[in-house]
Amino acid sequence: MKAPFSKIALAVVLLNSSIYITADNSEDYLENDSSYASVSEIQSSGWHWGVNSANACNNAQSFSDCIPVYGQDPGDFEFGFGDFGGVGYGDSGGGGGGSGGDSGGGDSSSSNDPTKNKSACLVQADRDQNLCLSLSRGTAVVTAGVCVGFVHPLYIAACTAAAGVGGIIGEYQCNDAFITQKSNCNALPD
Amino acid sequence: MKSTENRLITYYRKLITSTLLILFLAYIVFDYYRNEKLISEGVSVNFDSGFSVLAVSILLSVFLILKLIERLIQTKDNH
Repeated sequence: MKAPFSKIALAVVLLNSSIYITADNSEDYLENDSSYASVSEIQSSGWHWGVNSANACNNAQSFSDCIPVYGQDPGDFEFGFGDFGGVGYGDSGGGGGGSGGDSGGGDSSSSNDPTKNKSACLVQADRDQNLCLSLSRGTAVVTAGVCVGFVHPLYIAACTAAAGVGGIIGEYQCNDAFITQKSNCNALPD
Repeated sequence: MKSTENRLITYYRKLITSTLLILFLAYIVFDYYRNEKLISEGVSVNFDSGFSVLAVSILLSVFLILKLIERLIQTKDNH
């Protein structure tokens, strides 16, 4: 006897993985220090499926003033850049510490830092988008592969349709995050 | 009892769908590394969209066609 339930469980898990968790709107981090500190929390829990970026917008007046944070824990991140008039947020972001950047930023060692350099930021955005799309596609295809293993045609149709829709949503989310990330990059100095 | 024809088409159905699945996954991995290489070289990458739907549609269509043939042969055998 086949084990349809294990297949259903597997398909559901794969499908859920292919639909991205909608993260809080970046605008939320404009609010206050505690919202700002939650960037750390979001990063630790994953941001758009492994695309490890968040927008730190503490006290910023508009979204374009936010700082995109890539691949590092804001707790170890020094948020003090020229764009913010030399205001350092190293300690208010949840722990402070140790990365070596200072308020006002701009030292030569950060020329490849995607949080400070526009071109590095755009490259990072491309990389994130590439990873995001690949994971989304891979999950959709694997889910479809599991779906065709079902016996009942109705299950096959429903499961495959869900895999297709999951794929569409996944790609849409990737593109959405990519556009936001690029607009953040364009706000950075050249 | 399944006839030899039927068993053969079942075998090919599984073979073709598995091969397609592996090909799609291989393309995804290949595309990822190709894009990474282009990004490293500083080339602007145009990310194509809609691959998921295309891949799922092809997989399902091929599967359904072969399944239909299998059922037709089975019906013929029963008569």
